[in-house]
Amino acid sequence: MTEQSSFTNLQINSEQLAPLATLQLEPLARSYRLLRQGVNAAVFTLLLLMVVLLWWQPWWALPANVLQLVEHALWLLPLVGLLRALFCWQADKCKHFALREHDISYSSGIFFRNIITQPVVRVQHIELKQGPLERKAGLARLQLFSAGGALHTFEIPGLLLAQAQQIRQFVLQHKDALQDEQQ
Amino acid sequence: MSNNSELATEPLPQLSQPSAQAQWQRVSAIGILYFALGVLRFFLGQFVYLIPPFILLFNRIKENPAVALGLVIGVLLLVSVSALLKFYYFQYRLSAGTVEIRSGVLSKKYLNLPFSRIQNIKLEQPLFYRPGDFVCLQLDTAGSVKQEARLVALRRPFAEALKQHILDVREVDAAPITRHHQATDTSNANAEQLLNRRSLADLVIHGISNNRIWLFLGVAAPFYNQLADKLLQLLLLAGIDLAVMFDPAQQSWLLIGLYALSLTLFMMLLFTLFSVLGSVLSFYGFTLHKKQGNYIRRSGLLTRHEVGMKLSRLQWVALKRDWLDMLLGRVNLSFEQINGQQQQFASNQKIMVPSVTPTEAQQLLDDAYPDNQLNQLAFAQISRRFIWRYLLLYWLPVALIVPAWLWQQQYQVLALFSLLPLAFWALLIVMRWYRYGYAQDNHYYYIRRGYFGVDYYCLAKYKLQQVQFKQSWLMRRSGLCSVKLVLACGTLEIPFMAQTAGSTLLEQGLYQLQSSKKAWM
Repeated sequence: MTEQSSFTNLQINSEQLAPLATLQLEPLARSYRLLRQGVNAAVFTLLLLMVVLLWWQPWWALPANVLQLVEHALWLLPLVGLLRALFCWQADKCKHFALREHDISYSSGIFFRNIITQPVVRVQHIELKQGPLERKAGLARLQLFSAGGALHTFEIPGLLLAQAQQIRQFVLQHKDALQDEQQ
Repeated sequence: MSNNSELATEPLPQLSQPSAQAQWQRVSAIGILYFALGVLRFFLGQFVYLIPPFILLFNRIKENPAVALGLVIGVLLLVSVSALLKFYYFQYRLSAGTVEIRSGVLSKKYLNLPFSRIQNIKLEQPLFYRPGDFVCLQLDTAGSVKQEARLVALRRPFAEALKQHILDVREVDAAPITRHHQATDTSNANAEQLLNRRSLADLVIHGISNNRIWLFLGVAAPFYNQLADKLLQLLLLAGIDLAVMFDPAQQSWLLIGLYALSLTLFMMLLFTLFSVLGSVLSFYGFTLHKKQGNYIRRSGLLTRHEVGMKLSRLQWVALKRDWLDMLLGRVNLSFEQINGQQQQFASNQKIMVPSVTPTEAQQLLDDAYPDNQLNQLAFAQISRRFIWRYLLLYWLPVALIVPAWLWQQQYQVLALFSLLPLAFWALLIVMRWYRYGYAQDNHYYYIRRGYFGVDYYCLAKYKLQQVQFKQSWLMRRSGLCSVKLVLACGTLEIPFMAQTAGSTLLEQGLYQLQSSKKAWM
């Protein structure tokens, strides 16, 4: 019982005790959203360019049905690209994370909201990942592995590198973390 | 098998010396047979697709017995030479705290396994090991690196002593504090305590209620045609002509129906018989013992398996009953532990106690989790919206399209008949909702689910690895949520529960796990 009274689980960066439902969520880095928009735009522009090239090229005549397909692609591709951009923008706005003394939560989803909470005690190892574009943008992905299996790897994308390193340090320095590793 | 508990586990001298001084040793010579069987199994596995042409060419082979004999002798020679080489190059060395194994003829393998990393110790005794009382000791390490070591042919007393030593080392490493308490009553804890024993009658019941016949059917698939021909000939000999019996020109429909029914029943009886046989083969002489916080399961008619599991590795206890188990009043209870990435070994990683009575199941559960309240707690139902979701989203489109399409294609009878599976599907959805239930106390979650049968899961809150809280837009409007509990042996989901109940459930679980500071394994 003494253990119970001394136990606290305060949210980091916030004074009051926080039940899961009322967590104060921090958004992901703004550059993450911009990067995703950039990648989306680049991919669709490239696709469109290829289609336009196919349409314009004077060397060989396209069969009638392929030509029809290409002409549809000419207006369909920008439309899908635009919709995807809008969706990603909104979806990225819905991605948040929150740190408490003993766990990390990540929430996402516009229509299907999903809040994953990873207790720090159960983290087996941590990875900080950066793709080439992420490195350019100064972003990093943080992955926390538990014994729950590969399907349940906890990941927060789009963190500023310094922020990600801070969180990693927080997990590593947590007095209960990685205790299972030593067994 | 019964003499295990009486075996005095004499200390092994080589376990106290540093690894530099330890000597490399070979396993007993009977290991050659073990390796030979392994090689043979490998061969069969590689060339299983050659079996059908082989059968086709059987007549040709009968004409040229010399070639066939040469081939068989060649294969046998190859098997025995490689088994001998494998045996020759298989060496192990025991020293303080580690076991090292060198093996491999062409590609050499060296394995160094500290005792403290060993998670599971299994003793396996194939039929041919029994006269000399040899065993194969299998050491598993789970976690991120998959390693497995087999000490192929050891004398049982030696293997038992080694196993005991490894268990002791692990105990000291894992819990230096609790060890202190245990030291006072070691005499008590050293003896094996019998928790459960299955009689032949229990295994027969298990065979009936858990039909594993599909396995047999799958294996026998290439021989269906020949089997059918043989069967027809046999029946003809017995004066039964199936072709005439099922000819509508010669028999009335009623009679044909009766024949079909009795034939089906006969087939089912046959299948059940096979299933019973399978159950007896794998579970014969089943015993579950407890020794120093370890569960030990022994069973098997031909190859005796011994599986050990440390109680602290237990992730959840599942009490499963399908509809036949409900009728027969039995429960399949399984103690499940970490399964990690090795899904295919999942069945080896858990200890299943087949077809126990509900009281026995409760006793076993009480032994593992003494403070559980599975029997006393009332389960909360999930929301009826679960039914609506599955009915509207999946069932209704199919129910509208399939009969309408069949009707349009002039298959009126079929369209009417399609209502039957549809009704069954709807019933399944309703039953799924009806069976779903959840409860919790201070230390455990209890989850109930199933269709016609019922499965109960009892899991300690501090074993949680991760939790998830899910809500669709519609669920949020009606104050519902789904929660997912991730453990090292799998995940359990409670769908369509009240939002407040869901978040409290997770909050309390997280509180338990974070404040108790107990290790999950």
